[in-house]
Amino acid sequence: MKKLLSLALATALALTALVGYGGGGVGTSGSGGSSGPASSGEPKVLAFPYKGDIATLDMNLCYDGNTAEVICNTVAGLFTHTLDGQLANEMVKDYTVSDDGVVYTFHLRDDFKWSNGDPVTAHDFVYSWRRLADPNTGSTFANYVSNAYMLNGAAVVNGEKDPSELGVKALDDYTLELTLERPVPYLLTFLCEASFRPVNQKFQESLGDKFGTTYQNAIYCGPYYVADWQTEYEIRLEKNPDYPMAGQVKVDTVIIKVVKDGNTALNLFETGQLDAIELSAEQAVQYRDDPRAQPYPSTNMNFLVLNEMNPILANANARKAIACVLDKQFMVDELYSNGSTVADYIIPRGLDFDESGKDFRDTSPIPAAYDLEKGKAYWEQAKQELNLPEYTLRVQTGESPASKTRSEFFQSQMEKNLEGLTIEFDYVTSKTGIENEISGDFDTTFSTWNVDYLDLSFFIDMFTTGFYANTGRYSNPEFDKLAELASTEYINDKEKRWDALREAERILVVEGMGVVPIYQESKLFLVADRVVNYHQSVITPTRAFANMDITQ
Amino acid sequence: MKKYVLVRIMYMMIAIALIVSITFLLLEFMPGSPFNDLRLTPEQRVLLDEKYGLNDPIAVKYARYVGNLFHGDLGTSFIFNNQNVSDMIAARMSSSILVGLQALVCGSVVGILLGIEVILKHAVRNALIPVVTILGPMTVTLITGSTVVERIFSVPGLGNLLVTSIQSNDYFVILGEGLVFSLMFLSVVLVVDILYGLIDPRIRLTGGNSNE
Repeated sequence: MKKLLSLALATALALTALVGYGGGGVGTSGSGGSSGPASSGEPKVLAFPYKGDIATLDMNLCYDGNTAEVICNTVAGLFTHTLDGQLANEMVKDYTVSDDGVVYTFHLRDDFKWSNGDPVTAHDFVYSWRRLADPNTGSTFANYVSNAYMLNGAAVVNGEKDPSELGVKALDDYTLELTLERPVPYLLTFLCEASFRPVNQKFQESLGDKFGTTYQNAIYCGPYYVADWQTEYEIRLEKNPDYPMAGQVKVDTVIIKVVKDGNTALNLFETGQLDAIELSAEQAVQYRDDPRAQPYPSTNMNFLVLNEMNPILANANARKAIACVLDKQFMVDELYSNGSTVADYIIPRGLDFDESGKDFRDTSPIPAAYDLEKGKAYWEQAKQELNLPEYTLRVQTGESPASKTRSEFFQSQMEKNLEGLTIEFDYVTSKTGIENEISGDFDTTFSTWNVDYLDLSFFIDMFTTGFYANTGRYSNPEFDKLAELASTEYINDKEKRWDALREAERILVVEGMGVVPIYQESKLFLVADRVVNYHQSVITPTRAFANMDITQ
Repeated sequence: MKKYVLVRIMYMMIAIALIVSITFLLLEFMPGSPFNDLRLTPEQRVLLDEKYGLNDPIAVKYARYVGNLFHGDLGTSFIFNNQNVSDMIAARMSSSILVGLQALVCGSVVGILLGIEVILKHAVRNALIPVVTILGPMTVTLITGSTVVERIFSVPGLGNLLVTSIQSNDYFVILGEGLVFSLMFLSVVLVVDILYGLIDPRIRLTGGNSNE
């Protein structure tokens, strides 16, 4: 008995060892995308990594960038973008706008087909946008319909009106009419978002809550379709032969691999198993001069939030002192090294242009904040005004090494230059950090925001009194007034609107220092030489795989 | 023996009930909610909390969760929209087991085989007792706790899911994983105890009134 047992134990373990080593599915093996150059007969395959799995294939529930990228490459939208970042028609044939700028009529192509064979019609957009707004859907992006100022959007999102009252209707199968509450300059690029992609009502209703939970439970009408989705391992996109512009789609298969570790991704890239990777801060220092490195500017802004509920930070001179002594250039060059540019402004570059193509940013210079002597003088003044026994501020610090390094740098800068100030770390997970920001239980925190829609007002509205994302509780009536004018009275008058926004921005980041801008984010990518037309866009989807190709 | 096993399984059930209840209570004290996103308006957060029943009193939530458990329903994820927790765990289980067993094989089989040679025939039986004692719980730890290995080798496993679910307040995923981990651990402990009796009949299993 005992002998038998020990033998059985050993055999069993040895057997599992064999099974273990033989089995696929683990580690860096698996079907690499880049198995040598593609000859004309071979299918063209690209492979990219994601840091985590996608959350869903339900357009209306999608809330993160990776998920949006997969959805937007597999479900067509009204518009898409070209390689040079210009908006281009996808399902829209042409459209008209009413003179007052609030009624859009989109004429749709009639040759788009769902993967279940149904034609894609205007009704699919109506169904999708109502479903997005409906509180019963439970989408965290429901307020996109209010951000787009769709008629009754906010009321539907807040449960005060029925989704059928949303300002969208199908005039016939291929004519979509959208009514807005006010003119929206960024509407067309905003409608590219995954949340606004069409939904096939019949298919969605047949699955209920399970819609989008697996690749079989999802429906497609884009340049690609999802052919496989292995949980937290791999997503495979295959070219959709039914896509009306399929002839222009060059790459047959796009493989998305979930690679959580940055160094693993770099190894996979160097061994030809991945075609483009985003570099972490440490990797960027090493690779920034590599010929394969490509920086992509984004419209993301990183800034330091100062909570004005804290008595020290309620003092304008104290806020200015902090802004003046923080060496942003060092942070950008040494802590990130990804091509990000120092920002003393809050409205990012790349959002809006005048007739001559000049960026708004170039029409509104903001003086550099960094000035040690001035900062120290502000601090002395602040101390006199405040007259507190001690000066201690906490900085919210996340789990990542990058976050810790940043907090340590902030601490050393402040304690060295502002005499008597102590900086303590507040270690938080991201959800706890946000909870603290909402409740006001924090002093300072670094924050990166992506604009949800390409509008100059985005980062101005964010700091208006009482706005939910204004967690620093900055408040200035003059600033509020200008922000409101820019979105109401001046909405159709570009000159006045820009003037108002310039002045509002100056009040926020020069006069009042309601927030300390740090940098406008750029991302550094390593792109394999064989990839043609690799591009990261500020318009959704970030990467349109249909635009890419592979060299022979 | 049979009675002993039955009593032990009953204890196991009580332990699991306690673990689920305590985890549930602890989650109640966790700051934040899955929906504390700065992009959400306060009205939206209230509506979302309502839709998913997060505003209900803890007793109501607990009763609902336990009720669903009896129907084999571990709930759905907030982060991976509407995915069944049981599906999510099942999808990651095999990879985790694979990684865990490889580690186990490297670490123990080699060690045991070498040890057997040294200890020789007569000592094997006695020597197996401490080995089994350690091996059981170690198996579970290796299967469930290989977060670092999962990250570096991009293994879609359970360890990483636990970490991300805690970071994102994905309550039912945390609870589901807690349930599965404790079930695995307690089962292994039971098996180890039964193995004691097989390896060395002199070891009396006390639990209830075991007179056999």
